Amino acid sequence: MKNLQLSRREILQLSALAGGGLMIPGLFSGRAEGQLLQEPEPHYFLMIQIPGGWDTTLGVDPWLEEQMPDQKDLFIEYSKDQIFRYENLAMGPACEPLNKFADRVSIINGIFLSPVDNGHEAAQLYIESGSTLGGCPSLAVELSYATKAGPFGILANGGVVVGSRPLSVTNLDSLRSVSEAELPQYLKRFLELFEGSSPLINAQKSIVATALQVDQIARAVEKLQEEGVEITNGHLAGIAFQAGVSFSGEIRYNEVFLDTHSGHRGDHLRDQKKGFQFVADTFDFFKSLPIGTSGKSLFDCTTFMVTSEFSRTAALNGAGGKDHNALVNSVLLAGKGVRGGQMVGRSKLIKKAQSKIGQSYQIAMPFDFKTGQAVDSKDGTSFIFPEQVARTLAEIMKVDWERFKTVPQKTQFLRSIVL
Amino acid sequence: MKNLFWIVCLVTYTGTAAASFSENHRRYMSPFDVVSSLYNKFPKSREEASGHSIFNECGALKSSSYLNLGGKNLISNKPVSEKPSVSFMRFYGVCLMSFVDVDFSAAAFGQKVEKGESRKKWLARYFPSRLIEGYKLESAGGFAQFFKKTWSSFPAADRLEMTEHLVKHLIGSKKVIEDLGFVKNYEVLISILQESVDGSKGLSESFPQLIVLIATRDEFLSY
Repeated sequence: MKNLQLSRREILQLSALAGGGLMIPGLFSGRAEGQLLQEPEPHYFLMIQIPGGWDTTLGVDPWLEEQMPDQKDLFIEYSKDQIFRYENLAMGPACEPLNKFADRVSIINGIFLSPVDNGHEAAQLYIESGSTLGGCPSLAVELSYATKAGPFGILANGGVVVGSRPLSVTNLDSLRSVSEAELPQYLKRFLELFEGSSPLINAQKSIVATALQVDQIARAVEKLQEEGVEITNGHLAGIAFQAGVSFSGEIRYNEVFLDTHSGHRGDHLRDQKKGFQFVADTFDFFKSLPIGTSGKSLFDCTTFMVTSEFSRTAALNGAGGKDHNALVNSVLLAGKGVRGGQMVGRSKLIKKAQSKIGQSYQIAMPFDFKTGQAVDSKDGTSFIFPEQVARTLAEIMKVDWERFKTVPQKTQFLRSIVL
Repeated sequence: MKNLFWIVCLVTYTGTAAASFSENHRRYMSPFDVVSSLYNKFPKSREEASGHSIFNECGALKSSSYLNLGGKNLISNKPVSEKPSVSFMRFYGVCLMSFVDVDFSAAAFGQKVEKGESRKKWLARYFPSRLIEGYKLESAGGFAQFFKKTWSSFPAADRLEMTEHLVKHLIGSKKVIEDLGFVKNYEVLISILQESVDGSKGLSESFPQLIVLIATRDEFLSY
């Protein structure tokens, strides 16, 4: 079997046919699966989740008021001079690895999730899908469905809620070793002759049609290995995007889990910073990958969404930890279509002395979508919810509104961060 | 203690017998059953596994292979993909070819003598006995001679018979194939399978291709 490797010429032939959608009749008839359009500038989407629930005050939503808070109301472990500022953007020390990308980053703060803590999974589904409806697809899925999807569907390293969308999920781990050169050749003739259809047959057709792209992925992974690079899921997503096999992905950064119900001091900041280091490394790698001949990088063609399930309570609990806080969350956006250096929405601290619940808490502030400003009064205003984040991303990604069903087109969105 | 025994049995059973991907009218094997099936159909791979690094990934259910093979994510209790995806096919295809390579090629090239099993007996799993009569299969030279024959050098009727024999060995009889309901016409499937094999190659290459074609069918991977 070893001597049945695809020759370069055969790979090119396969690829030429695949690019034109001619390899297997009907293979590219659906838009969702297997469309390999070669446009001058594709638009990719990558969601990165730093799991466990992040303390937003350490990174994306730092304390900006002149007077530092009483530590019993809001525990923070940095001084004002550790806050990085760029235009309207301010980032705490956990975000330090992202400082160099400030001109391409925007942050949405003051996102209201729920008056009560519903646990990790419910909050994760809400912030990742922009909907409270069970089974609603993740934004990585819905945005791809409403823009463009490659033959590998959604790239992910964990569970992805696909809902009813006809998109497959490709496990990023499976791209680490793609020594499958013989497989397309083995299957090709059978698939040309066989008329039946099934998910398995469709997957086989995609493999035949993407022989060249898979070869490109294998070579890119090999190159990184030779350079001694420790290959991350960010690398794999970038390589697969560049090869054109997928346009959307969802990475859960499993190296950390930020759920510091105890021992918050020091540990949470260290781990959250590690998460943002991964984000920064992924940005760097995407910047190193050219797309087309226009001189643009993969970073220039990708919209990134970085988030966590919820934020954390303001003061330390009896165990020196911080608990779940669904009253406020944040999302960091970067890359294509995002106006950099911006920060919209705010949270506010209700001190213990003013609190009706006997303890301090941090909560999203109402938001006036007309002025684009957070306001003190709820009168005539609303909150930023994950639905508005989803709507903003739909605007950035220029979705087909016939296909994007997470929120109606009339939903308000955050204009100031959309390019 | 007795109750504990039954609880352990039940947990073990439900963990291994659960269908892969989402439940539907066509049940795909669980990741555990996929791996078991490969070991059962290609038993020589069990003997040889330790010498091949690929079995670290394919022959043991690590978390990544478990998810690739349609297993459930323990956090969401849902499969990563609701149906066999490109990811599954790529992972499974490479693993399958490794199993076939170990079980078939090593023996075919006469590099290994099977433990407790004659070459002829081993070969009878894959080929109808009528078609291997007359070859001196117990000698490495005769064995290699047989595998040098090209697929197209066999008459069409023999190719069909070989294909049917292999389908029966790997999946089951005509009745089983028809009951599984993935194809309307069993004979058409057999005909397409035999036509899809690269006829110019010797059996040492063309036959593994036929095995891969059959073992990547929905029928092979479902109940």
